[in-house]
Amino acid sequence: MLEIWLKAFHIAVLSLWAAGLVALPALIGPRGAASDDEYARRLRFTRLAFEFVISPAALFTVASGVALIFVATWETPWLAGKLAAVGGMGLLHMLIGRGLSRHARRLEAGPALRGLITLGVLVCIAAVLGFVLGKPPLPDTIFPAFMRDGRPDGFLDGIDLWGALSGGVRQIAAAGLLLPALPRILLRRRDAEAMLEDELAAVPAGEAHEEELEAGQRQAPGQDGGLEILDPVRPVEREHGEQRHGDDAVRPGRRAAPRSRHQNHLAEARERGGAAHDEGGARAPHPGAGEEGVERPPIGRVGGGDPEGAGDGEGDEHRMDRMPEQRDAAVEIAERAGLVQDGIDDVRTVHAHLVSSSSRRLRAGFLVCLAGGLGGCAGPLSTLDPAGPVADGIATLWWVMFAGAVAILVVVCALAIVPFLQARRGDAVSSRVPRDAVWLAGGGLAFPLVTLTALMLWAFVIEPIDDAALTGEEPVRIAATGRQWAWTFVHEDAPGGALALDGVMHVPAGRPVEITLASVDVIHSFWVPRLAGKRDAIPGRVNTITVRAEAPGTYAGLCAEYCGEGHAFMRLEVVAHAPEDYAAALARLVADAEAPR
Amino acid sequence: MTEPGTAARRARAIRLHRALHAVWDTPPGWARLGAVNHSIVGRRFMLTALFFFVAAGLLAMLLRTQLALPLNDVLGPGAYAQVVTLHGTVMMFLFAIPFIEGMALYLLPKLLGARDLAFPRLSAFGYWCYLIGGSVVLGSIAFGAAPDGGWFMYTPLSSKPYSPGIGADVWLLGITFVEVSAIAAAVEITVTILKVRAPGMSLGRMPIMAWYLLVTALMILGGFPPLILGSVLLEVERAFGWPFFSPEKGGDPLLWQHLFWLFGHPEVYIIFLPAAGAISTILPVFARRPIVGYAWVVSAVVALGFLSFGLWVHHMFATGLPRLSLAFFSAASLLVAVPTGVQVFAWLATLAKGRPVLTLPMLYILGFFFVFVAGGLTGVMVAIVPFDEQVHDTHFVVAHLHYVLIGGFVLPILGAIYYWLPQISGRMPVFGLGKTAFWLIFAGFNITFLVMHWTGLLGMPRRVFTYEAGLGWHAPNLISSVGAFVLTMGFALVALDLFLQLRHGRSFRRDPWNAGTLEWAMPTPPASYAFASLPHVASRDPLHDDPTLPQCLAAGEGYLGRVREGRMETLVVSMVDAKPEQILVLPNQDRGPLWTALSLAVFFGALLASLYWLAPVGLVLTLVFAWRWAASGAMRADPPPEDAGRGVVLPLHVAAARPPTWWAMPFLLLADAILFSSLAFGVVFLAAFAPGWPAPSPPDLPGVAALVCAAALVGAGSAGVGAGWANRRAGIARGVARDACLAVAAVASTVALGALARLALGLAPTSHAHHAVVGALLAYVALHATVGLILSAFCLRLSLGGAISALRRSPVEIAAMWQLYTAATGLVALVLALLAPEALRPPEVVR
Repeated sequence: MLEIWLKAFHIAVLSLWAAGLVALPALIGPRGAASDDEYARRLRFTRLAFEFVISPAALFTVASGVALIFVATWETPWLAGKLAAVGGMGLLHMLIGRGLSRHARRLEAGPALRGLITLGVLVCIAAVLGFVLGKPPLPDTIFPAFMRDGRPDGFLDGIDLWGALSGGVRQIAAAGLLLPALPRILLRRRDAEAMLEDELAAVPAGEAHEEELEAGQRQAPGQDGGLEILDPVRPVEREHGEQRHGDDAVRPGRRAAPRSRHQNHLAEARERGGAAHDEGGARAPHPGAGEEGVERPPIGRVGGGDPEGAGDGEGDEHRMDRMPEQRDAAVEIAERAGLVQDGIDDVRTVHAHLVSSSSRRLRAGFLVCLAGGLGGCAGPLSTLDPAGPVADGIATLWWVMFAGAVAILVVVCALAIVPFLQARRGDAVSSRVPRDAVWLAGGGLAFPLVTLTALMLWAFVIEPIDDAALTGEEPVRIAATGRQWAWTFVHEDAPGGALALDGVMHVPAGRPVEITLASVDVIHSFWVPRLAGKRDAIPGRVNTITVRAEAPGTYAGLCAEYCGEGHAFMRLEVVAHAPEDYAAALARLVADAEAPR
Repeated sequence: MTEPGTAARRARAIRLHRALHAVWDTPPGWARLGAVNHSIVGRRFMLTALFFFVAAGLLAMLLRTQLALPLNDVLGPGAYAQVVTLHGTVMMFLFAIPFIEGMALYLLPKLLGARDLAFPRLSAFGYWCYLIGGSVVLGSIAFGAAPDGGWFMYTPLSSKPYSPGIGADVWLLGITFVEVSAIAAAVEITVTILKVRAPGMSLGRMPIMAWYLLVTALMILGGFPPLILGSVLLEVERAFGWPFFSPEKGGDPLLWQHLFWLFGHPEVYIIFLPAAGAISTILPVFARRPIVGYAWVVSAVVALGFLSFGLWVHHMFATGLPRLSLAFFSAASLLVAVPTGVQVFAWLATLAKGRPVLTLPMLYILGFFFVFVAGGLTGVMVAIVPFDEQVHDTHFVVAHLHYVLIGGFVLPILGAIYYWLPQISGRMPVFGLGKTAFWLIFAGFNITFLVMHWTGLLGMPRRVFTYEAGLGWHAPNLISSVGAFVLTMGFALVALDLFLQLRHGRSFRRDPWNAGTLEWAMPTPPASYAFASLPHVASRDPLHDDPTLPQCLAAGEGYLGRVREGRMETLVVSMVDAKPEQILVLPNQDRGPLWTALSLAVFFGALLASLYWLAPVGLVLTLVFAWRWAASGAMRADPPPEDAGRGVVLPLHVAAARPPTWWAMPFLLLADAILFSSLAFGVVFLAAFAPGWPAPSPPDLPGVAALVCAAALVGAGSAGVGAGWANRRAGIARGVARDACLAVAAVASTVALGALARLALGLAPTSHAHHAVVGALLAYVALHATVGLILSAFCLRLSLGGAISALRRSPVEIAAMWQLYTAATGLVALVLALLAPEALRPPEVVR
């Protein structure tokens, strides 16, 4: 949990710092028509913001970032990019600081400089966010060689978190970043109070102070560069897990067995293709790591034997301490999800498994995805790519409501903004403005009543109901049962009695399928977005939903109601067969089910 | 330029200020623990709420960081569940509602032309409950023991078998504790608005904000009891195994959903209305004309209050309810757009007919128009049943609710903070840092949540801790996460701006916005007593009528422009036309509320820690402190009427027929009655619709005991009323009759308790929901009979101490109200308990 708090704190101070950098260039704008008093207040205000809020925020950002680096591991390419961007923020911070001290009496900077600073700040912030959130797949060669070097295995096992933290703080202090800056900032308090006089005095006061402060602040961003220096210092290094860790969007320290060298080897292996695979596998024989040339090993402690590091529990608490009780559940999930045969025995390992299996696609798709943006309604779970009559009707409903909503929103916003424009132009209140009753009774009462009644009636008319009873067709019946965290589908029409399948449901295309929904534990919700809306499976009750797939194919579905830790991967599949093939498909499935016995 | 008499007037004003200050001020230091002044308590509420806002916002940033990438690993499923649950819970229960309460407590007396609230100690008590309960709920995550079932805590996921940890208990007990403060604040706000106003301020002349807050407070009284009941039932199920929600034993998970959304939907409007009230107050000021259609807006707000209780089922469209009821609730959900539309068009008309200036608060209101209307439009969409069945529980709904809550609450409230901060701090903004902040917030918000609609339409369900690539969810999630950071930067900048404004803003003379309402008719920052003397109000904008009003009030030319016997006083007026009725004497600096809240915390803490032997200790302590608190205002003789200024002579409130304390009782009982109705609804719902009924062995309730109980309850009620009647006139015989009636009421209550205990012997509450609900009914009656017994004893004690007379009669009348209520609900409860469940079961449901 400590790591989560640290991250939250880091996010908070980073936001404050970034916000300050965005705002400061505006503050050092031209004096304009401000009176002496106002201008003096602005000076004081700006300096205070800079010295007591934004600069400390910057220091805390870097400090918490450094701490996070020690809590987690960080040999990951994008981090270097992030540090560069943070360095950029630091430089601009310094630049603004210089502006503030140089022009002690006047904060003004020219529009070009301010524009440049603002642009730089925005670029840096965008870069930081891009690196941290997007974790773009940069080549590993971006690291200097010494950072890619491995360290002896097990070197850091058992180092305690607080040791690492205090080590980090010592490093910062030793680097002369934090301590020299602090007293100066604290000492400025008196000056700040007397600042109004200072600003209005003939001789700029506190010039020396400013210089010192500036010196201190100039160093602050150097912390980012300092990281590289800090790193090789042995006692603070640690391997805290196999993850790519950043000082920002980083990962809890699961101290699985992997070592960084191992990881790097694996990373190289990935680059070279399968050639290095054996080596990676040999160094750490993780089940599941094999086939795909995993760029990172599985997450869970597969062997289960990692000793608890002394005093280190806290950092891992949210996963590690709960391991024993979660383990059983996790095994169950994995069994139900049919993943046991892959040697995966943990929810989080399921997660890791998916990471590894999808990582290539992820990397390949990354740029495409960003470039493509939001384009396209398609997607295996998209409600706007309907494949059944109900979902189709709802998609139409959506597009019509969307168009109407945009129109209404535009009109309302125009009505709100136009009076301001008129008042700014100095127009008199137009006599053409309708009377109160028109606004209230017309806009407030009649307009929504008419629109909404129309919408309601129209929705009723086209309301997509697929009910076998209405069409007179004989539906296919399937009984679905939800449990934590899987679905079971009993095909009642199967030859030779009911056929139960986990996670997959076989239906004939073009025919209504009536699914009864039950749950044996908590509430789940059955949803196949491309076919129809969702319906809850509630313990103690039986609900029904009818779906129909227009064409043969496979349609993905999921549990839509939060049902516990395995909720995110409680998926299902609907396989629609051509009607004439359905019976044969069921027979084949029955045979498959009986074959192993 | 100095007029004759001005100097004398100024001297008078300063003398009056010193005298009032000496009486009203709460000195810094330890005395602040006993602070009850509305300005202090209101500020505390708001600051604490803002702290929770920051905390919950950072939790949201963790969520957004985790979701930025497919299969990201910032948070695992367990941690994600805790963080997402706390984000929703803290924002709803610990930020939005308390902030509104704080704003109402701070502003109301100043808007209404009073010196303080009706029950200052009650709001202080509410604050301590909120602080303690809220800290426990938020603090739980530091130990990894936070609730993790989602903020609406659906059963059976939150029941013991599926949430064995302490997290769910933290939620149920912590939130219930916090809701005690919401109920306290709601009673406080209601009675203050109805009774503690400036003379002449009839209901039609109230500032429109007061109307909004009145409706909000009444909605809290109506909306929170179902959740309190649900939480109590669920906690009893978790702790003692009474199966209210377990389908295996005749309970029903859907009952929780009904109770939760019976609260949950009004809650949305409870959050929205005060923000809308701020808009209705601020927008006309900057449009430089009075609001268009005051009566229309007030009617719309009242209509909204009622309608909002009729649409809770639209959160349950996917649970498989009959289509007809879905159509009904769908129509009701659409209908609620009409009163909202009336308000929006009243604001638009005010802008169109005014000459608006684009100040910072106004900028936020423009942001509100875009965001909230967009949220309202998606709200209309999800009210359409088939569409909701697609997007329900997806990120579309997450986007919708953030548009409504951030658009309908956070943006207007930020505008309100910028509008009223000068009133609080006495300083004006220096520089437009706020504008940059606004644009960051506006852009960041829309980047985050506009895209999120799309994410939902692409099928991403809410509350998944991660997702794999290839579903089309990656790009929109990444955009949302980047937007969220921009949004956070905006809020950080607002914090910076507000901090600097508080320290370095430019001070101003009165009324910087040229507003017409009374909160600007005082020096800023306001003195503890708010008004040196109370105005006589003749219109909705008294400050526009008479710009010299502040000076007149400061010089003591209004009502109560003096300090007498070191008392803190304000006026009580008649409800509709605001004729002065009583002088309300207020308490200062009392640690009673703190001790009472701490004792109650012992009770809740004992339940949380499963130290059940300690829980009664907490209750007894609470009782002791509450008793001392209630007895503290007693007077041993009838006080004479006093001069209230401007030629009006009024009785003190203790000697009035219906002091504010008397008025508090009906509203408290209203909330109580809604709690009871929810319980009755639960009983009927389970008996009629739950699986597994009837019970294998129904409860064995002896008819004789039930009859005795009913008779005793009626007896206690009659005796209570009799005591009140006997007390109406002075006289020794009357006094004896009164005391005898009180004694009879106490004895009858005790007999009723005995009979209830006998009835309870026939129950096996863990065996079946039938037993459990009968047990809940009996417990409800027993609780009320116990309180009735205590009230009778309390009145008897006061009476014997000479603190009750024909004039000082309100304690007896309040007790009588309680006894009557107990008798009425007790009879209904007994009927429900004895009723055979088969009678309630619709034939087609019996399988």
